[in-house]
Amino acid sequence: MRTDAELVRAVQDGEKQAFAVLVKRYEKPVRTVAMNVLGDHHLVADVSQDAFVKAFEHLSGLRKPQAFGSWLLKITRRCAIRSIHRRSNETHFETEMAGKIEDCNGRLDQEKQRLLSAIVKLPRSEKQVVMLRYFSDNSVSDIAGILGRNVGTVTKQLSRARLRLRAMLERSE
Amino acid sequence: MTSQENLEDKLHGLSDAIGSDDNLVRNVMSKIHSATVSDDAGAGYISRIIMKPSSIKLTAAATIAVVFWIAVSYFSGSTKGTSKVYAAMLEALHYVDTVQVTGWTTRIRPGHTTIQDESLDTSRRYPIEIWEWFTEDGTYRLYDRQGPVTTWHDRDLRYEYQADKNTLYIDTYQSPPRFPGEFQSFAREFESLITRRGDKMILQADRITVLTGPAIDGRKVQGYQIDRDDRREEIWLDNETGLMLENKAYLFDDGRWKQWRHGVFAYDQEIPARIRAYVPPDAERVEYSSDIDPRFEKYHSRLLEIAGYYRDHPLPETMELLSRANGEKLDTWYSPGRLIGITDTTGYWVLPIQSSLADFLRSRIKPYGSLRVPEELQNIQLNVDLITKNDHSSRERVDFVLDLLSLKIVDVDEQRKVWIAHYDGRPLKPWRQVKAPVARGEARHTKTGMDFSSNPHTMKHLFESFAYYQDYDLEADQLIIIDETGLPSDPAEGQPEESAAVSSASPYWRGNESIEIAKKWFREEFGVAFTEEIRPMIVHVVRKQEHK
Repeated sequence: MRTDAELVRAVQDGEKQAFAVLVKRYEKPVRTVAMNVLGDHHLVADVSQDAFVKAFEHLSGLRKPQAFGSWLLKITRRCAIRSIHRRSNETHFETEMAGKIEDCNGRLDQEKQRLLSAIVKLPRSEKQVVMLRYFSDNSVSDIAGILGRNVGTVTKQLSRARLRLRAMLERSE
Repeated sequence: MTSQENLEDKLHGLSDAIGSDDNLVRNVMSKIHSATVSDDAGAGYISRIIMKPSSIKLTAAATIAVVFWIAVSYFSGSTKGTSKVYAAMLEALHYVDTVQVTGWTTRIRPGHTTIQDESLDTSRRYPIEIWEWFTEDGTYRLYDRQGPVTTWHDRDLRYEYQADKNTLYIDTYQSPPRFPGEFQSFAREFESLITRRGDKMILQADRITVLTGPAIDGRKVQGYQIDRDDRREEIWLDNETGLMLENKAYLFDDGRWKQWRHGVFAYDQEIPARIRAYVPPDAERVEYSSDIDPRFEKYHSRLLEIAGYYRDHPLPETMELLSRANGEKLDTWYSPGRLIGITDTTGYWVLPIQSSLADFLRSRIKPYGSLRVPEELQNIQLNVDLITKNDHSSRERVDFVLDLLSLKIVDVDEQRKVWIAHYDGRPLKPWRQVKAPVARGEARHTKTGMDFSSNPHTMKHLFESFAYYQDYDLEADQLIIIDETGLPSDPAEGQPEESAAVSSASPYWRGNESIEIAKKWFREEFGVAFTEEIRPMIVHVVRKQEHK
């Protein structure tokens, strides 16, 4: 398994298909961040696509290829915010209403929304491993390979993230 | 089930709820391969964005490689090369979190100034430190220190501390930047070159010169020199990211270009704790904008009450006077009271009238000295809110209020004493140098001959001020001044307020002794003399309506 940094360098060297690997790898984290900002499934697909394309366009400016994941999520957040501004005249994103609306209309229920909000508040490194572990179904050793970190580091980061998440969820109840 | 399993279940549940998009990879890769994105992601972004005229080739060795001219260059919608570069720079800003600017400026531009402020010394270089960023929840923040002026944006409030005056100004901030492309660090750099038309920003330049130069901090750069009239901006952009790394601003003055600003830009730097935790200092003087001034809290409530009233009632065809239920006098500000949801759409606003009838009328009927209000009517107390529009003249408002009081103004011809003012044409002193004849010293109350204010006053204003106070009792038995000096009464179009000013002092003087003091002051300071005549003049007399 190639690390993010190796894939980024490959894309920068002209191997465009390497970017497809990054898209598959980060689809769920990107959707998660977009969902947190937008609060609506129906808007997530466009923003996710937009975020990946923007990331590709700006890949040459990425000074630390190993930071691709967090950089991509930052782009995603910006794309989602811009999407809101574009739509602000027609739609209000009332995330506080999410709990009253069931999944069928594209919004998360209240409990899931709380969990999502907690995840995006995690420190950058922990947020990334949580998303890769639970949303992209990677094993700890896979995550270590993706991020170019030790398995032990990833394990610790996951453990700390879970503790933090539990604390945040308790506080928000 | 353990808490760990419980959390993991929830995480997997959330993952399922977020879902996936089977077409994402295909769609993204398709877009990447399509014509909208060229196949050189590994090359510099700028090289893909800039579209230079085909006849222009950069010469790497040359410092100034290419010069091309454009009359008007559009930021949006144009294919002109430099506009594309600037657009690319703004686009690149979307992918940064923080901007830091350091450098210096010789021109400090405080947001809050008064006409009396002395300009700061422009021969000095004042250090600049600016940080702009968005917090995790998307809230805009700004820390901006330029010499003695520190500005801090905290959510909806904007603080400006002016150390040289030990004053803190606090106001509301209606339209903070929504994304880094709108950061002030950039908007300010280019504001003198940009014209806004609706949502469109238009760069107007006389000449744009493409520059090359040495790397900045190891980054290859591309420079642009933008000239417009007497202004010049030199910007240096990172070749790869398109972000601005450095800028220099110049003014053409005294036959040469003089640099007045230098900025060095850095991105995504760790924001120092002292900046994040910045709190505006306790100042000797704190000034609020009227909408948040604690003194006006009750008046704000009153405005909300009035706005609520008009949600249930039609707005008046002309004007309407609303009395206050408890008759309370409220602290108000000078500008019109805005009604939320009404003023912006209909033009109706609120004029609070809480004074005696005499005070309400005194400044509204001109020429000063021509209004007569019988003593028994002068002390009628008004404590009401007039709902009015800009379309209504001051006289219409007066007539409306008087009518509700069963009063009216009757114009009568009378023989009146008038002063005809003549000017001998001597060169006038700068307005700031013209002072009142009697020094104020430590006096708490203004006496005849003293300064009343130190704002810029035109000659017309000086005459009005003097006549206003001469007939303060509204008996219409004092003088009326007729201005035949030929001096401008208003600034020429597009000129600043002080351009027609002749004095920093205004003769709000009363009493018999003020006549000679004023005559001497006008003669010596301005070369203005008065000849006295008795002329037939219209006198405006307030009377009761007979039929009511």
